[in-house]
Amino acid sequence: MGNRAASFAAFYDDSYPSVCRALGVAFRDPQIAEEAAQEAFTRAYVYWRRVGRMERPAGWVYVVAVRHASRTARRRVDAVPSAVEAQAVDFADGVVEREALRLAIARLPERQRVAIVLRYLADLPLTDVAAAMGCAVGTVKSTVHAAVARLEADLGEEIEVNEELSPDAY
Amino acid sequence: MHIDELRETLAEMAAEQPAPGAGAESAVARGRGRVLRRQLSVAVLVLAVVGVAAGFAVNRHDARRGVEVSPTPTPTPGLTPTTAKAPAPPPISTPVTTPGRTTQTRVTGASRIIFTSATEGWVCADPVLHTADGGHTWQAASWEQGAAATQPGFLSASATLTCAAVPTDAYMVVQSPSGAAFVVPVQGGSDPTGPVALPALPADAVVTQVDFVDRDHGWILASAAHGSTGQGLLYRTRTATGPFDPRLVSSAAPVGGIAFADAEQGWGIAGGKVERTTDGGATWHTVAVPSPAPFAPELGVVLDHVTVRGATIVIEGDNPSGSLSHTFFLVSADGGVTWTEHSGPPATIGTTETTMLEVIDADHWRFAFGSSMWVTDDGGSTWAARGLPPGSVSIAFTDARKGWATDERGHVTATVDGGRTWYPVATATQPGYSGLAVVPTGCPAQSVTAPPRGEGATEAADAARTFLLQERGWIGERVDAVYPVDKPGGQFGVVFSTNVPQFCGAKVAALSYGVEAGNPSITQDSSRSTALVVAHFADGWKVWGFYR
Repeated sequence: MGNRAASFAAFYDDSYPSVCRALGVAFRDPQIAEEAAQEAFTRAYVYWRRVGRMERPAGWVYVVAVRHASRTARRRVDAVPSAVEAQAVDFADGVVEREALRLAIARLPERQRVAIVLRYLADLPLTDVAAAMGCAVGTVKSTVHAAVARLEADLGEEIEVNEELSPDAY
Repeated sequence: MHIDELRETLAEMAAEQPAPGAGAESAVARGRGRVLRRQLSVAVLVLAVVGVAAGFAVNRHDARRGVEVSPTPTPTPGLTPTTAKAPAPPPISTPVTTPGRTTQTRVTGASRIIFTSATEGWVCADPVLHTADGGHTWQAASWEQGAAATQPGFLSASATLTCAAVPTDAYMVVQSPSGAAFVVPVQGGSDPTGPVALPALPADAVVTQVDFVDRDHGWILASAAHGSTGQGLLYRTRTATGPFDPRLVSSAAPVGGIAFADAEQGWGIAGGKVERTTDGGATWHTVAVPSPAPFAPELGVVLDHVTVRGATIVIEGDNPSGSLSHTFFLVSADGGVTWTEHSGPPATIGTTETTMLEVIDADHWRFAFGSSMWVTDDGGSTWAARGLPPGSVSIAFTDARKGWATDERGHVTATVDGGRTWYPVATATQPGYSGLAVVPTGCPAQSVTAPPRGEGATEAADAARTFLLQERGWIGERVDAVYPVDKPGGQFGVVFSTNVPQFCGAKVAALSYGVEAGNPSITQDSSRSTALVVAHFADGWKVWGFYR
């Protein structure tokens, strides 16, 4: 195995499961998640000469994967509009606080859910989240802020966020 | 509720997702497939042009010389399998035996060609090739495997070779598939008993670069690819004060590449950042440099290589968009105090193509990729197109005109005209004049024709700014070559050339057949229908030819 393949394999082994699972949470469809992750890692291999040298190769993969998953999810929602909503109901039987939080996350609009997954699960910087979602950093902040506000409303309690999410704050 | 609880819940939800099934090999296979498809689509386009020209050439050639014509169309050179093999030439290369090694006739794993002076050069390969006469002759350098020979896969096809050289020595780092790495001093190294083991590397670490400023000061950079940020592990060697002894000096070195100006001053790149050390690599700090806005935010801007020549620092960067790469250079002529940005040559570079940058001095650079080479003689402000033998993985120039290239098999080619033409060089493990043909700059693609029966072809797809070589093999099925003679009043020789009067649309002033004086390697051989054709053009030697 050459340098390129070896370093890519190490990166893949380290990052693929987490990317795949994060996408599964964000898009609530394991098939879309794995397909998008495969596409992103395939592109990462094609571009590995430069992706491998990036400070955050995983961030690049997230950006590509989220964009791919968004397109796929949009097509599938367009084709089968009730499928995603039907899945969301499955989470509604939890009674403890953590289950309530899960349910609230599941009920978030997809764009808000993607934003908080990339920010708080994948730990991507706001600039990478913005690149993945195809919007400005300020828009990401307002989207995350809206998601947190919606979770707070669903849960009936405040969520303490230790970063400034005002769209104007940089 | 604290935000960390949201993080934990998200992590729990992620953990409950189905386990992903695919391994890295699936992405690698898909990725390779895409690269291959891209390359094939280009090749098919190119070969379609060659194929049309080939048919034209065959008809003309056969009509003129009365050679038997195959009833079937000429196979597309280099792509379509053919059963019509060329006659086997007599054996040329002599097996080379190096101490502690098995007899070897082939070079493998060539990764770099280095000239440390006008006369001294090295090819990092197995075996290492060395020249002490300015590249005219090359020999396999000897070294002992020592304890490294016990490592599984050491020097197997899957081992990786990286190297650097100083005027008297080459230092090769060999990493076996198991991850163990050895520094191999070759010829005059301070440890003549054999390779020196590098301290144990992390499981996923890969040796990516070696840099020596002299015999006593060298660095080995390894990259561990785990996590979202790569980890650069830097080992420093010192021989002045004791045994050759590479030791880890930094676990936070620039993962993208290093280059040292002297024993203490060095530069490195990591992602989009430039870093500097003033203590031999122990500590690094970021240096602010200008950087272009990325064409594609999701791809970003990446710095690829850093080269140091005295006070001149040249950093090559990529600004990719889609499947194309846009090269730029960050240049400092004052040791890193001030920086300027230059655009790369106006060439289309695929994002998977390996680029090669040779900085001869502050003004003269050579930048190559694929079968193209671009030259600048004003420090990157303007560029001119030249060619490069396809498959080249490394280039080296000792001045603006004299240069060498090697492919992965250690086939060394040379140029004495700044890259306008290239010719194969004989080495201890390869015959010279082994299947290279060139197209001069300015030659329109349409007028370049294929040789009889598709034994080889060269084709210029972009008005001969670049040229492609289709070859049929090296030993046992080789085609012979075009070569310039490196001497005053020298000539280019062409073997078995056809259609020369119409070559490149230029008028041939004279055409002669014969053996180039002073070159015993090519002789007229009627049994193999070999002939040397010299085409005299008004503005110099414009040549094309093949052997069969």
